[in-house]
Amino acid sequence: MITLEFFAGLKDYFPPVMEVRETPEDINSLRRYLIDQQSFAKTLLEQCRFAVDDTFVHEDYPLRQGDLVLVIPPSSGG
Amino acid sequence: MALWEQAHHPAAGGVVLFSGEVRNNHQGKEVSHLSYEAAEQMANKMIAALLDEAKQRWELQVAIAVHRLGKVSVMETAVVVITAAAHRAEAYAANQYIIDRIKHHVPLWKCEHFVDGERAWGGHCSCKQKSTGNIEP
Repeated sequence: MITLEFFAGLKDYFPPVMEVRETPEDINSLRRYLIDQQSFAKTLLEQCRFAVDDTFVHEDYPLRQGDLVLVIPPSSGG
Repeated sequence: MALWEQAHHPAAGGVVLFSGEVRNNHQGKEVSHLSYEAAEQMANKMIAALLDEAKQRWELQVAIAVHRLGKVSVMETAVVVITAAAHRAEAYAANQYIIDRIKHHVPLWKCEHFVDGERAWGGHCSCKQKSTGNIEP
């Protein structure tokens, strides 16, 4: 199981925190899983970055049981 | 004012202060206020690392960046960046680098609240179109 944290516009489609029972293999698999869950959020999910341990990770980053993954839409600070 | 008091240094001949403030309009629509949220712990770490990087790169004496979260009203300051260097060129360049990185890379988001009751996440950055995108980690 992994835990996901969603931010900003993604919270229109997902709860702020969500658990995924079966750990996806990597970030790419997680992205595809989320698009399957919420196809209306496809465009936004395709633009998202992901972070583990407060560090951005690549598409092939291997996920592990217990990971807390931040799902990060395009930044818009300032 | 408290931040400005920290901006001065005996070896700094140029001090630049950027204040990102809330406009009352966006693409023809009247803005009521903005609200900001962040992946706070990660954003704080990234801003601290960014300031360290800028200090080294431009030999700054002072580098400060503070971003507000929550509701920010029109004409209020949402973000402040202060840089102080021996000469103005370094202070300006570093300041622009820091604010650009905060806008495009740090996990911070604005939600625009319009007078007509609608709201929209993101946007508002005129340099966004030039960005190479956000997919890169």
